[in-house]
This record gives sequence, C-alpha cells and structure tokens, in this order.
Amino acid sequence: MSDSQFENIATLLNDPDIESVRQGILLWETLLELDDDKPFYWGKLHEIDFTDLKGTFSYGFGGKKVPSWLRTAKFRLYVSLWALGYLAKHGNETALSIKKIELNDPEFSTFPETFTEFAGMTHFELQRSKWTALEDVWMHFPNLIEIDLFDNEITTLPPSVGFCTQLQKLDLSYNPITELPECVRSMTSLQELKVRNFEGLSLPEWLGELRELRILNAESVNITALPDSIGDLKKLHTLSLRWSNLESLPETLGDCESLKSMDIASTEITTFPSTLPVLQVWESRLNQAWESFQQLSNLHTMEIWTEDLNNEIDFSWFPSLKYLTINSGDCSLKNIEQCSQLEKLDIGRDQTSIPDAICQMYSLKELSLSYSKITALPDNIGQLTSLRKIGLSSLELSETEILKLEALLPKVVGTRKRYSSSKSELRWHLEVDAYGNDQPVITFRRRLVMREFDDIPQLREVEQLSGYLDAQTPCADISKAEALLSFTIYADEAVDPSWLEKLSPSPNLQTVHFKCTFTEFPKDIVFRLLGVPSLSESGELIFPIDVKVSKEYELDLWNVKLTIAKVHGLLPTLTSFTSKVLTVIPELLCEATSLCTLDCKQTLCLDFPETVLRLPDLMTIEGKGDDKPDAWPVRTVTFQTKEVFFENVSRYDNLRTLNLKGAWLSEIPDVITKLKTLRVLDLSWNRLTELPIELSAWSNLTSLSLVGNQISELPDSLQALPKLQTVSVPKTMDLEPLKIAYPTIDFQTWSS
Amino acid sequence: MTNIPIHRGRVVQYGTTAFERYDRGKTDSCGDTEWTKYKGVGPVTVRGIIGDTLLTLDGVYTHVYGYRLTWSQYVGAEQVVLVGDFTFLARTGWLMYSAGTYLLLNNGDGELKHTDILDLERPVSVDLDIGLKPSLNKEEHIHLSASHLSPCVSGDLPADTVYEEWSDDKYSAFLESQPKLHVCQGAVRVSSKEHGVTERWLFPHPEGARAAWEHLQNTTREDDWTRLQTMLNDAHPIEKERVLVSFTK
Repeated sequence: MSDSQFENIATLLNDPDIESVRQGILLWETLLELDDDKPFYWGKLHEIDFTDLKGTFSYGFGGKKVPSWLRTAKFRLYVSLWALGYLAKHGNETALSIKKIELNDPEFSTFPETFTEFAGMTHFELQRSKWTALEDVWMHFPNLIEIDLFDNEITTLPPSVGFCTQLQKLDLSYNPITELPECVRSMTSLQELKVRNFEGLSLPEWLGELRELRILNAESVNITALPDSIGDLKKLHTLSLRWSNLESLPETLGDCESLKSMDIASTEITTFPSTLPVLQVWESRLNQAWESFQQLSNLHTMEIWTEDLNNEIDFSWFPSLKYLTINSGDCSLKNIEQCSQLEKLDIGRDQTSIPDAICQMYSLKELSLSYSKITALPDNIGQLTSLRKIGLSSLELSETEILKLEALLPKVVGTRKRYSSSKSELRWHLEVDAYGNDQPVITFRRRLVMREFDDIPQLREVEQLSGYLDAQTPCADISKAEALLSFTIYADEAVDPSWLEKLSPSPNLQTVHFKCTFTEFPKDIVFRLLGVPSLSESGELIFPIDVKVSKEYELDLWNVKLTIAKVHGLLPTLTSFTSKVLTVIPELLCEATSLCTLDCKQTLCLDFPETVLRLPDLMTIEGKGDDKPDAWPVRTVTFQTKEVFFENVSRYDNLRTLNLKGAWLSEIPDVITKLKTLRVLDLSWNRLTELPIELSAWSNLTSLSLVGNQISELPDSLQALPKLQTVSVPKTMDLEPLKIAYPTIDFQTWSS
Repeated sequence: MTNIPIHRGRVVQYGTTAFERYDRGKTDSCGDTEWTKYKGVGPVTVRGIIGDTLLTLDGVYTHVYGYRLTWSQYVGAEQVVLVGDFTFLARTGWLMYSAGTYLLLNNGDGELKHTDILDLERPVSVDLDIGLKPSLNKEEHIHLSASHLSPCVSGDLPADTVYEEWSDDKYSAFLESQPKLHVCQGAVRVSSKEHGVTERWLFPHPEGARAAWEHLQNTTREDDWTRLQTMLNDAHPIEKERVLVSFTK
C-alpha cells in the first residue's frame, strides 16, 4: 500500500506545476504523521542525502544526493528544502545545524512551509531571481548575520526583517526598491549596507542611527544628497557613491572620523565641504571644484587619478595629509615637504622626478615609486630613517642610484615567514619592493650577512639564509646558526675553495645550495658538509645534508658522494642509483656490485661504461637515446623493430631483460631460445601456440610471461631451468596441474 | 544527386531546432557575474545508410560561451562522434563542467535525453576515455564547422541523397588527427579510472552499446586480444599498428 501511495506522491512532486508539488508535500506530510506508515515515509525522507551539507544548503544541491524518484523533478530543490526543514522540525541534528541557505534563481518564488524551522540560520542569500517580495517570516531567524538579496525584483522588505537585530550585512543591490525600508532602522548591529542601483531619490535621515555601519555602498543610486546624519556614523570607513547623482556633500561628513575611502567618481559634485577628511578623485571634475579643493585643510587622505588638471597643486594647502596617492601626469609636488605628517606617498606612472625636499619628511614610512619614469633617487634619501617600505619596481635605476639607500639597508628588525609554510628569514627594517632591479639590494644584504654574521643576533633564529661571496667576503662560519635549515651561496665570480674554509654544517642544516661556479670544485668542503651516508629503503644513497650544485658540477658532486660511500663500506651494497641531470656515469659506480636499478635519463646510452652495464645484478636501466651499446642489458622489441633485433641479437651477450610484448610473434625464433644470459622474458600478447621443447640455454631465466598467447601446454624442459621462479600463463591454462607438475615455479595469470 | 559522406555506414544528422540555456551563476566578491551561455540544436539523429534511425538525442550544446570575472573567457562545445561502431557525445572546452567522451547507451527506439547523459548517475551513458581530442571552434556552432569529427549534416537529408563511405585517405587523415585514438574496425580501445578499466577494447554487440559495455565488464584483456587477433588481418594499417602498440604496454 505504501509503495503505491508514494508513487502518487512522487508523481505530484515531479509535476511542473508548483501547486501540485505542494499538494504532494501536504500528502506526504500527512502520511508521515500516521503511525502505521511512519517508518516507510520517514525512510523516503531519508533517501534525500543531506549528510554532507556542512551547514550550508545551496542551490547546487542535487545529483546523486537526490533519489531517482525526485532527480529530474523541476522543483526538486524546493522539495529538498522542505524535507530538510521537516527534519529540522523533528530535531534532526544535520538539519538543525544549517547556518547558510543560498538560493540562486530558484524555480520557485516562495519558501516551503518548513523554511521557518531553520532557526539557527545566520546567512541567507537569494540572488538573480524574479521574486518580487519576501514572505514575512523573518522573526524566526533571530541569529541572522547576513542577508544577501542581490539582483532580484524585490520592491520592499517585510516588516519582520526588522527583528533581525543581529544583522551585520545587508545587500539590497539591484532590486527595484524606491525607499530604504523602515525595518532597516532597527538593525542597530548593521556594519555593511549595500544599496547599489537603488531607485529612491534620497537616503533617510535616520541612516545616522545605524551607528555600527562601517561600509556603505550606494553606487549608481539616484540620490542627489546625503543626509546630514551621516556624520553620526563614526565607524564608517568606506563610502562608495560612484555613479550616483550626488551634487554636493554635507559638511557633517567631516565628523566621520574613521573614513578612509570615499569613492565619488562620476558624480555631479562641484564643491567640497571644507571639513572633508578623504578625497579620491578619478576625473577632471576637480577643475570645477578647485576653489573648495584648496580649502580642504583637514584632508588626511588624498588620491588623485587624473591627468587633466588645469592648475598646479600646492601641497601647503593640506598640512594634515597623511596618505597621498598622486597620479596626475608629471606632478611638481610643490611644497610637499610642508605635509610634515605624511606617512605614505605613492606617485604615478608619468612622474619623472621627486624633489629632494622629500628627504626632510621624517614621518614618511612608505614611498612607492614603482612603475613611474623616475631615473634617480634624491641624494639624501638615506635620511628617511622612518621609511619602512620603498617601491622601486620596474624603474630604470642604476646600481649607484639604488645604493643611495645604503644607509637604510643594514638594519635587521627580526625574522619573518613569507607564508605560513615557508621558512623563516631575516626581516629588514626597510622592505625594498623592487621587482626587476632588486639585485643590488639583495647582493648588498647577502654580502653584509657574510661579513657581519656574528653581529646579527637574529641570524640564530632564521631557518633560511643566503650569502654572497667574493674575494673580500669569504663564507661565514654558520655552524652556530641553530635554527638554520637551508643555506644558499651566491657569487658572481668563480668561488675559490679557500673562501669556503669556514663553512661547516650547523646542527639542523638540511640543504646547502651552491648557486655559483668554482675555480676548482671544493671536494673537501663538500665531503665535510655531506656527512655520513646511509641507504634508503629503495637502496639509494642518502646523506644527512642535501648539497645542491649546478649541472656542470653534478659529476664532481657524485664523485665525492660515491667516495664517501666507499669509505663507509656502502658502495658494494648500493642497489639503486638515480640522477636526473648526470650526463656522465661516475667511474666509481662500477664498484657498486649489488646495483639493480640505474636511472640516468640524461646520459646517452652509448656513454654508459661497459663495466657498469655488466654489473651482475643490474636488471633495470634507463638512459637517453634509442641507440644502445651491445652490452645493454634491457631491451624492448616491438612488431616494428623485431626483424632488426633478431638479426643482431647474437651480439647482445649481456641481454638480461627482453620485452617482446605485442610483437605479433607466432613462434619463438631460434635466436631467442639460444640467449643464455636472459633472466626476464616477456612474450605476452603474441600468437604463440607452443614453446620450443629445447630451452636449456635459458639457464639464467627467472621470470617468463606468456599471457595472451594460445599456449595450452608447457614443455617438460621448463622444469629443468634451475633459476626459473615465476611464469605468467594464459588464463585458459589450469594453474593447479601446473603447480603439481612444476612445484618450484610460481604460476600466475593476468589480472586486470 | 547529393553525396553525403558516411563512416562505417553512418552519419550524424543535426536538427534545426535551436535552443539556448543561460546559466547566470554566482556573483563574485568583486560584484562581477560568472555566467555561461549554452547554444544548442536538436534533435540529433544517427542514421544508417538506408536512412534508418540508429539513435536519437533530444539535443546537444554545439556552442558554449562562458565568462569568469574579467579575464578568463572560454568556449566549449559538444558533438556527436562516430568511433568504430559506437556513438559518443564528446564534450570539450576550457573549464567545461564534465568535459569528456560519453559512450551513448541506446535503449530501444526511445529518444535519449541530453540531461540524462551528463547526469551524475549517467543512466544512458558511460564516461570513457578513448583518447579522442576534438578541437574547438569559437566562431560558429561545432556541427557547422570543419571541427566536427564525424560525417554530419545539418537539417533534412536531401531527397536525392547518395551515401558515400569515407575514402581510405579520409579515414587515414581522421586517425592521424587523433593519435591517441585506437580503433580496430568496429572496436574501440577504452579506459576509465572510475570503472577500473585500463587498456580494454569495446567490441560491437548485436544488442547494442549497453550490451557491448556489459560484455566488456564480464571479459578480460586476454579475451580482447584473442578477438582482436582475428580482426587484425583485415584492419586498416594504422588500426593494426595502434592495436599492437597498445599491447606493448
């Protein structure tokens, strides 16, 4: 009974008419309350998978989370939201933990009845819908912090939104709202209000009652004036009035003591209130407002982004200025030194010079000259002892010009990590942001570190350090830098090993990177740095400290490493050797008598020494190029190369692994059956019907694969192969008789 | 007399009912809108040489245009591709959701729904990697451009239609343009991590693609090899080479 009943419900839920869907829900809800069928209908409810919501019900809910009987329904999101609300009503923890509901252009235009059950909801979002109104249900959501109603057709807010007194963010942008709803007035916690594209003609005087407001975005609104009460918004820091019809600003704006950003681009404003604290201008409108502009003695922040000024700015007009961004052609910066409180100066792309007078601005903390046309720095820039950051990116400055900062460069103020996962490094008092020409500063500081290593206490705390060496600047003794993990050495000229005499590993050092050339490879130093080696699980040589050199010294480095391995008796036990850069095989490798794997993809196969190729256990090898020496131990032969291979195979007296997969063989050529050195032979995916009877030459064979052939029997001679351990056979062969007949061999079939 | 090219006796016929879907997406923190515009046509029919209907889809997106913030536009498209004796929906493009090649599992005479192909449970398709890399055409609908991989027509078939099988040269050019596609007559090499299938071959089945897919799942690579050996002598040289190459791995 339940099944057929639910079939009717499902039909209603899948109806394209929302009224039918509501009837289906009503019927389902009724049956959920009946004792007899409760478990069945609850089970159906739980077929909707809400387990992975993580507190958010989003318009993306669907796919496998929705059972097949609901998956293609037009209103499946509506039904799912109802079901989730129903679960919340009955105490389901997942449903009760919903904090955020996001709807984007939903198919429905009202909430399901159980929507009010999400009492814990803190964020609600409805975007890009055709909804014209919201239901008056908001008294149920006292915890709401954010309501985002961007781009709907809503004309006003229901009164109950006013009950959301905890609301901090409200976005009403792009709705045909003609008057800021009265209910907003009671949102005394509101910090962010967006009314972009607001169609009303004014903002209400009570706006000033929203004392917690920090951000007001009224872009593209029709208003011509702001209410005087805006001065009551003491916490307002960002005010965007761009593209509004504003013609003037109230004097009270000067009371907005936290204001840092005020965008009035593309407005009709031609006079400024004399109390204005912030001015950001993107256009030539400043010319029309020039008289009132000169009166802005309270300005603390000024941004000018226009090249069309008719008059020269005299900065003595703005004695309170702290933050100045001036992008107005090649500005003379007249009387800039009279802005004695200026902390930040950012100049524009067309600026060709800055006056020497800025060297008297002792409050200046940040000076950005990046991407301008400045070619010289003031001679006395080193006097700006408060300067913490200077931007010089992309400037065409000579090394001499950059080193005018020399007096400000040495001071260290601590350590820092660029990112939480990176290693700590020195933090300098002056941060030089000079992309493209930072080398003189970096080299100056790297050299300084080497020369004054013992006098910079913060060096004990850094995890990452770079030093620059030259004949007058040998490497410092870093052995006491207890936190140091990584040390990199730079030099423009070839480093003489004598410059490295003091270089000894510090207690926790992991990496030493030589980014330099050498007059002679410093074998003894590297020997000392590397430490005592061991073998990894894969049989590779590993050292406590990873020494890195450029490619040209890779062979020298490996010669030292293998020498150390020999000294410690590890060379004969080495089983694996890998180098991604070596172009020559180190000579000592021929003493690695247990070597099984050799991977040197940058070394030409023809350049591998024969003594290495004939190491007794070598079974896996990688080199560069298709041409291989006759002694090469591993070969892969395809249906395209097999004829040439068979002609030459008699020369391959060191062939150990032969891969003949997919070679389109119908029989095994005699030359193969005579290969005495073979250890691994893969004949998979051929057309073989039998193996030759005479196989005695394969006395070294350990592994044989016959998968994908039509072989039904194996010759007795297989039993006589003394080292044969593994045979992979076609799946048509019965393994049990084979295991009995050949008890020493492990038989396998293909598994895929 | 109008010559219509066919491949293995089949041609893709795109209907002329155009439709659009506009996904307005979300607004990002900058206030920009992410959106995607899908333009499609339907129905899409795979026809045999006697004009018979082998498979019908309600429609496909033949031109997709998207916009992300202010810097990354992308285009994508879908096309119906005939590979071996199978029909795939190839969905490709930058940042395209669920890009891939979908083997179409035709069931009886019913029309396949495009949404069902891309549905997460894929009741009428299997997402398989066959090494096919369709190119894109930003300027026009894919079925009207040279970027369409299989022989196709747009609109009604002319009354004087004469079907003309792809020439050897044409087929060679197709295979060479798709170097990772391995085909042997009607069979296609497929892989799928999701289905645990590696380097397997999908063989035509008299009961259709679903039966072929089920057959693959009930057999092994060795079975594939045994069957392919009987087909290689009559295979196109490029097909034969690629079959053998696939078994060197």
